[in-house]
Amino acid sequence: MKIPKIYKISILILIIITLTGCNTNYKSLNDMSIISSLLIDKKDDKFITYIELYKEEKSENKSKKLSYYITGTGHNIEDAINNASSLISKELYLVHMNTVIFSKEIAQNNLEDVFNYLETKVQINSNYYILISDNIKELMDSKNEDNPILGEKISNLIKYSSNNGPMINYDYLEKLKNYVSNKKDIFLNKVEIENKNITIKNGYYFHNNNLVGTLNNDELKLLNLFSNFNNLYFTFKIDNKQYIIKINNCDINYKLNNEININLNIKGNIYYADKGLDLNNVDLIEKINSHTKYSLKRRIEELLNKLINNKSDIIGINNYIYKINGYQKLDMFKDKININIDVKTNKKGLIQSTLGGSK
Amino acid sequence: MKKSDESNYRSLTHFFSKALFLGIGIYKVLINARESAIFSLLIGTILGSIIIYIINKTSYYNSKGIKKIIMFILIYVLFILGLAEFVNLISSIYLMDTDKFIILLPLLIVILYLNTKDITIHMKVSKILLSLSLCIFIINLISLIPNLDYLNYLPLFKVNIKNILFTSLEFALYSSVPNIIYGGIKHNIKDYNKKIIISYLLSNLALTFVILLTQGTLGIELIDLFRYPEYIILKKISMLDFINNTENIFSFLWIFTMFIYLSMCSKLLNDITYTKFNNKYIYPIFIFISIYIINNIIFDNNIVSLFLINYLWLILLIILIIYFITNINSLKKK
Amino acid sequence: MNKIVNQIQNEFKSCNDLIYKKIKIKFKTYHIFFLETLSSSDKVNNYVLKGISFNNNINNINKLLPSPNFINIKNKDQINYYLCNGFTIIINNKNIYAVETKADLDRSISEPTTEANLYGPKDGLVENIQKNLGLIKRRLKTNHLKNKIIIVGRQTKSIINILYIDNITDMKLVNKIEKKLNNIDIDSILDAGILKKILDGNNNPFPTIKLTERPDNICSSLLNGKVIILIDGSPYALILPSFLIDFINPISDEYSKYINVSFLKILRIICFSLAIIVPGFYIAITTYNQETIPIPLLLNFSTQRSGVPFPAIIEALIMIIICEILKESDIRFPNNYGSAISILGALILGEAAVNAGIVSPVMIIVIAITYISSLLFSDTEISGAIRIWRVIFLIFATFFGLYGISLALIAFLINITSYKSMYLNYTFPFEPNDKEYLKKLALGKKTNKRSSYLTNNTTKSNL
Repeated sequence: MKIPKIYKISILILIIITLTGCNTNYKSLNDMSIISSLLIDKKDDKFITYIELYKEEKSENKSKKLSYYITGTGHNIEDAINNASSLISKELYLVHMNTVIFSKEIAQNNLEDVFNYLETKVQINSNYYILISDNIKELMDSKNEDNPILGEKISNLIKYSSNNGPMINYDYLEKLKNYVSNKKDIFLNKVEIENKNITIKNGYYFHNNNLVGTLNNDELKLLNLFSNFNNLYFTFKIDNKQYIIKINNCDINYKLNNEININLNIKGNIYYADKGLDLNNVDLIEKINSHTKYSLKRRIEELLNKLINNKSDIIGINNYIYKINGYQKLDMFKDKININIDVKTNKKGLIQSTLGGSK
Repeated sequence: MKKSDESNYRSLTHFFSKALFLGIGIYKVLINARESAIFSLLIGTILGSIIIYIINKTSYYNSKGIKKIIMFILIYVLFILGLAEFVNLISSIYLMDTDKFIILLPLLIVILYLNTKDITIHMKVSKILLSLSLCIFIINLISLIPNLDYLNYLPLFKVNIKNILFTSLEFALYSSVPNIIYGGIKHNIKDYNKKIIISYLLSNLALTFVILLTQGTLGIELIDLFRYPEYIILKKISMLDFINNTENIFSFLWIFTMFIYLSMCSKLLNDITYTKFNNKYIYPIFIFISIYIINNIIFDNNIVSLFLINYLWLILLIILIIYFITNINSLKKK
Repeated sequence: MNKIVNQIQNEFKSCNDLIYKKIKIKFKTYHIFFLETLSSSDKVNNYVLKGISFNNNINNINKLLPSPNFINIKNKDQINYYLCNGFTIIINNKNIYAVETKADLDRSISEPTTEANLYGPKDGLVENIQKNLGLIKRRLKTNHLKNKIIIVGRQTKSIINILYIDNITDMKLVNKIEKKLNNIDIDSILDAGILKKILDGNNNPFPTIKLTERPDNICSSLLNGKVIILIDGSPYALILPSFLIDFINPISDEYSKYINVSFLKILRIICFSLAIIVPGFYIAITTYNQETIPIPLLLNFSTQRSGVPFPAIIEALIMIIICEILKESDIRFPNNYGSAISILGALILGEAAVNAGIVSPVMIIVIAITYISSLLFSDTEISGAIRIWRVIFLIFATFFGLYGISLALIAFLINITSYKSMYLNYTFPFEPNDKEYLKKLALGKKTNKRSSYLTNNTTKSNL
């Protein structure tokens, strides 16, 4: 069938309209500056933002990446970022952002402002991380030789570090979920500077979205047991000799009768043993297993007591109870919690015994 | 080739029953029925298949007089609803800063181009697009399964029964009312009622996968916050740690769905306005006038989209009732 | 009788190659006409002159002359036709006879130039229709292979043969083709391409008739139920009906194992889509939807693009035009002139353009991928169609981004599915699903059935 005239006229109209530049979504690559991380601080009731941008470098060695910072102040976060963006000649591009770091003061008073702002930016790839830091200005001066860009270094630390002790790989969307639900509380990792190098150590935890206390590295490692992890290393002492257990797998079972019973099945192997511990000895290995068991149980109970005192449910026991057995009316803060741990060191590798062990 | 014609005809159901879910349907089902969404899905499919069974016994292929005008209005309303929702989707996901009128124009050009062809071409295009969207759907499904958390589906029985039943009614209406388009297509296929219901069940199966996946990855508390949750979960697809952020390509699925629905509506409208003297020019002029109206009334403010979210089921129910009243004669004959 | 002689001499008045001999033997005069350029003098001597001159008792010349093709002409108007076809006309006492003495004016059978093949027969068709028919018939030694003759063209009067196998092909198809050919009223048919243009009646850029030069292609198409048209004076044969998949997959796929070949078939379909979509996709990604690109690539692209003053669409159009110029000049340039042209092309597309700041290196790679993928399709019509759709995708992508690409994809599908090749659907093995073909493609299975779309006789013998 031949195309009638009116369709050809309509195509003409379309072409005329589009060629007059009505489409404002066109962004060429040269007019964009890509944001790597966002640092938010507060001073005298005003928000200060430091935005880290990727720097273009025209050199033959294209693997070099650099970044620079711009600052802006305002009454709320959106205002501050808009004031900052007036300092550069290009448009800010948020989609590839790696991290958002804000100060402790904001975490205490204005946490909801941060979450409200981030929630409206839905176009952002939701795989970025949020962290807290005590001294934001010094973060900008830190020198990092392995990765000069702050945002990428932190996100790579969380994703790929070999001993993911204090880091749990929860991105923004998971934190938002816990923030929004009233059955689970959030915790955030902390960025610290040691000798001008950046590490992730310790953390803060919240109750009803108010900052309540701190967690140190060991406690964060124990929290890791309740979520996904790759390898965890715990140090124990037996007869004044140290040994390190590397945990591969941890299965958790809840049994809810009149009390809350948490059963942990831990599988790992002995990663390091001091001189004098004979790994060939079956008794010694059983002793190691039971010592690990009791030691872990004690540590977890200490952590739970700390959490219960502040009425904060980071692990999500109440959430689990509500979802599985809503009519049981058990509560983590009122009922007794029993923890049973079963440790099996089942892998040995190529090492038969340690130095000076069998004598 | 009769067999290929039949499979083309059946492939249209897959698109009709998913078209009005985008943006409104999935959001509503999950918010009202919360964790017990699966029950309302099951009840809704049964209700929907009953409605489709009755709809397929009627046909308005060669209608005259008032019946023709009423059918025109009904299908026009369906067309406008789909068009408004589609343009909202595109302007929230792909082109955020452009005027909605600019987004609407090329879509209408392609729809009018398809209108100049025979109806068998519509069905062939729908079959090819069905196989393409199936490939995309399977990729999405496989790459999103690792993100599921079983705690998001529990507790199953805490929701009020009234909510579940109401959601199932909504689900049934959303997925079965667009099938009134089938009444205007001429065909001579045996046992078509049974075949259409089978493909309706298959397409609802795919829809349940989508709804269960969104519920599993995001959880009900987060779905409250987002407008298009079925798009947000696509952001989580990451294959080999390298292919990230491909949600814009995998959303082509929804574009294909809406396109077939809109083009079949407009083909029927074209056929209904067919007169001996001036069939070529009435319909395109009508389209362009109506676009002007849409642009200045519906897209002007947010009140209309809020209204749509809450009362779309009522509009569809009214359409269904009017359709049955006008077409009750052909039902009696069969 | 003299009238006829004078008439012939008047008609061929200024043609110097008409030779007229008058032989008188015992009160009988024989007037002999032949065109020197079209007849071979050896044959004239052997068949006609010797036969007439050395026999004294001649009553019936029919039984005397030792020629294989002897025609008794009843109609005076046919004299012209036979003279121009290389026959010798003998006129005697109101009897007009024509004896075939054609000269060999064509080349010998050689390797086909436009269709390359690693394994398989290497003989190709030539300009003489009898030789072509011979090459085909020595492969299909069956009496079910029929050929019908139609003469088309007022000045050229070309002989056209329609070939088909009796018990396989659909007679409806043959009748339709015959009817179309009989309705042609044209001055001249110089080549198969002109006939192709007339028979391929749609106004679409995609071709529905395939040209081929190899007799094994012809034979396998005949066995699948297709119809072949041969033209005198052209070394190409037409295969009708042809679908889109025939231009993508060559027929010589059947000479290798199915498993090895299915990968190549899938690769060719991927190349077809790459050749159309890639420039538009690249522009849509870099200007509208940058989130699809991972960060290291994004930074590379932006540093590379910072030195270029044009926007991305202008760059793409410049590169496409240059590549088309190169491709076209490659066809026209004679082979003997050397490789200076390729050096020039490499200079333009290479480092010099990048260093001068006209294009960015990424754009060169993108355009190179499109052109390498489109080199797989050697048919000129298909490359023309791909070119048009590439530009349409590019335009949609510049104005609307990825949304534009999805709309252009839908428009492309609408366009392809609405074509018909002789009342059969153009998107043949995909849209009306053909299980035999898809089984071969995806699973590599052996089938001993023909596809039932073209014919009713679907059983072959054991594979």
